[in-house]
Amino acid sequence: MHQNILRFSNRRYLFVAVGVLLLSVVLYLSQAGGAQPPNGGTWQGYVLGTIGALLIVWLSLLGVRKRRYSSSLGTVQGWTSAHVYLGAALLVVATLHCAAQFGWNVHTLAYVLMAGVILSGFYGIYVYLHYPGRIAGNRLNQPRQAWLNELADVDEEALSAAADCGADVQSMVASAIELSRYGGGFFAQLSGKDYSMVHLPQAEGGGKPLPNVEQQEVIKRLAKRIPRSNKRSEAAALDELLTLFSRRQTILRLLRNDIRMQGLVKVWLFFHVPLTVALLAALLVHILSVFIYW
Amino acid sequence: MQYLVRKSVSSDQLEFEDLDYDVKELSFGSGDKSLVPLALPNGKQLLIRGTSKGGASYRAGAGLNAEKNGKPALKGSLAEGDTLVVEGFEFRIIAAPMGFDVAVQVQAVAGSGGAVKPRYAMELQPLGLSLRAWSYLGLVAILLLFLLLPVIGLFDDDVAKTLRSAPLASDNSWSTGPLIPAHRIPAIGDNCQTCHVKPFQMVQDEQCLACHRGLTDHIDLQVHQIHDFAEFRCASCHRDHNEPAQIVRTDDALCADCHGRIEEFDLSGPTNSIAVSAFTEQDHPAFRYSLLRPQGSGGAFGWELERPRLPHSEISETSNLKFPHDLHLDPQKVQEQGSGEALQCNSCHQLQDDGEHFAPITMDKDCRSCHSLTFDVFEPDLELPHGDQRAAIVAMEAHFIREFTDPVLRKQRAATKPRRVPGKRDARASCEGTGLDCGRAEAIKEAEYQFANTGCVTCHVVEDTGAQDINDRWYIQPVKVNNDWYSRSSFDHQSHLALAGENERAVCESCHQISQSSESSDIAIPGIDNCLQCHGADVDHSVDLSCVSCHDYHYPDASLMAVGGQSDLLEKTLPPEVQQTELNDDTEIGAKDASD
Repeated sequence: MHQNILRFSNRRYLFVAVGVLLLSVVLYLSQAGGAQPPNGGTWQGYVLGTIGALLIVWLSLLGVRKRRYSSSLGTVQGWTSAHVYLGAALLVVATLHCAAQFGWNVHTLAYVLMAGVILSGFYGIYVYLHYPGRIAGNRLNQPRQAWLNELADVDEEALSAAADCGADVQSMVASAIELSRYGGGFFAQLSGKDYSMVHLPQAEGGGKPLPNVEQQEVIKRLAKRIPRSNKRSEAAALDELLTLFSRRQTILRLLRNDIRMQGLVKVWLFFHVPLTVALLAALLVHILSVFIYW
Repeated sequence: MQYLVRKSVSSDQLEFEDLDYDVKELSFGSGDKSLVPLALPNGKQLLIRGTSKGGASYRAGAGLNAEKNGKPALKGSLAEGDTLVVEGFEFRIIAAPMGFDVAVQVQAVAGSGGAVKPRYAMELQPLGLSLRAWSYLGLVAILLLFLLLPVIGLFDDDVAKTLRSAPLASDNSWSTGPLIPAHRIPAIGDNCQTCHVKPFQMVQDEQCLACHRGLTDHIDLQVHQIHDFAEFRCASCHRDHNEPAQIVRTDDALCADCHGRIEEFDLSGPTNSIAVSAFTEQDHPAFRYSLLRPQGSGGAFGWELERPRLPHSEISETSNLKFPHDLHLDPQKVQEQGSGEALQCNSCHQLQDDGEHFAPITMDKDCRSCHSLTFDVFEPDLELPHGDQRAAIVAMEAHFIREFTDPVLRKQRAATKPRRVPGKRDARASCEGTGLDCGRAEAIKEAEYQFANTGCVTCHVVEDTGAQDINDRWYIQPVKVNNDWYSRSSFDHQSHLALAGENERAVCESCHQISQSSESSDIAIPGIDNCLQCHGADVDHSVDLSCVSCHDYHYPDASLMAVGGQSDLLEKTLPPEVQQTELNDDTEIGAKDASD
């Protein structure tokens, strides 16, 4: 049974996170009128920094915990719920630790990396909460492979229908199938933009492939071709091709959407994970450097 | 180069599609960059380039599964008859038809599905590198740039200098915030190790005192236990690299930490300290005047500073000066020369550049314009020197002897009848004796008059010793006017005199009620009550003061701050052979203290 991780265990970790936040704010405010302006070097700053560093290390351990299938140290769901709430709290803890003093230094680098991790995490939460439903809805509750199979069937049918038409139609259909695009490179997958092309014979004004966005170019040409068909069987074949390409349009659009949304669900991890590792390095340098130059 | 690409467009591989390209090089793949769309995984490409001899060379992207004539090879040459299989597609060089330089036939390998299989990558992969590789790259880059290189610089000055001058991360990237402007000089601002000498060791006093020489400490080591101060470094209070910059502590805890519980400290000398924790009537003791007390009769043996803890009403000034403020401030009796206006406070009291103290009152500057020291009615422009009793007597002797010895002067004097003023001196116009006798007699007569009746005695306390010798007959008690009533604190007159331009006397007298004072022993320096009216921490709309608004931590009569001075003293508990090595430093510090 799917359960929203934000509501895990009656939002237990929300209250833990709020507790951490309140403690941090009290610590921060207690620096007022002290020997120094609020910063990471007061005793309160050290405490906030220690809380922050422990949080960072623990939050990073989710990556370890979720791979330990046999571990009984809490459920992965519980860990993730706590990960989300405490990760959000960390942003405030770290800001209070440094008293919002920033500069061109390794300390701010660590902060920026941390902020990058947390913000990408916020995006991750958003897509994890909203996209599974949208993806299932887009696919009409069928697996992607079913749609790929149907596309393959439609393609086969189209090629065989085209066999009853002239060479120009055969060539156009074969090329349109060949040059139908979904997925591809990083940006093509994420944008979901239709880069489909069709290569027409020279006589048809081709030579260079033409854009075939949403299969419109082919559909347009097939529709035009019907009244000019040489024989009845060709008209029937063209009619069938029109239907088949309309179906292709739907399936291809659905596939591109599916790939795009699956990509969006995954892409934030490309930032979240490497930034986390970089953050751990920057955190180590931050802690070492302030004590090397105490 | 003209390329022909012949692609299989049916599953039975009997139908082909011919595509022609006029490019340098053919690229096959599923990415946006690829010229000929082909379902190669992950946007990777196969490049085929024709050679002049009709053959071709190929390069397959790293990670592609490419076999030439059955042998794995990511690149190589292709001639007619060679078969290159890449990810389920078969490439052959076929005889180029007329008008083409190179012809490539592409078909799906039987059984692999070919054209109707998914042609493009559908699983999102990170750009360029794998997630793991990106992670390691970031990890290594940060550790290398921000840790390893700067750490090498710790042990090698040349490396440190090179890093700091290059656009690379140096130990500058470890700085937690800007230095205060005074510390941004190249010697400090460009070299962290000027202050941060040893890794993992806090900044030591040696580094501060290398520049800040001659600073006094907070304590007199004669009085305080050195152990009470052992834990404090300069940087315990003076923290740089902060935003906003705050190199000097201004919080009350700086003082109240100890002075709030001063009774708990073992003070070996007479300190008479009372606990103080804030500037309120309850938490701050009454102010103590700093008084200059004459030693011996009339200050014959000098003056000593005293700070009695007594109610102000029980204290009087002992300057030995006679001065009624009320008379001088009464416009009926005293007026400003020239304008005829009443005297203002600043007619005599001129604020010095420090904004706190006033220029010392002197006879020449402040009194002589009215209280001239004329001594001969026949020569009213002539005045006695001030401040040197002997010189004044000699001046009178010399003057009168000259007048009675010089026949011309004596004659003039005898001929002039001085104007008699009731109650004033009776100058002798003529004398029958020798010039020496007459002059000396006139000098003694005038001296008696000056010391006992008018002149000196107007402002000074003059004692008649009864001695025969005219030089020993009178003793004028020296005058010492206090110029620093609260020597342990500072006060900014300047900022408190904002309205003085309009009505100076009213502004001054709002704190110093002096116009009714008829005796110079009166003290018109206000006490704590006066300050608390505006600055009491418990007053509404208070202008809050912290301890350091008035008091300095480093004050002048404390011991000198010395490099290692405190630790030297601490080490006196060490065995003698260890002490021996420290003795030289100790004596030096001791000598400095004594001279201070």
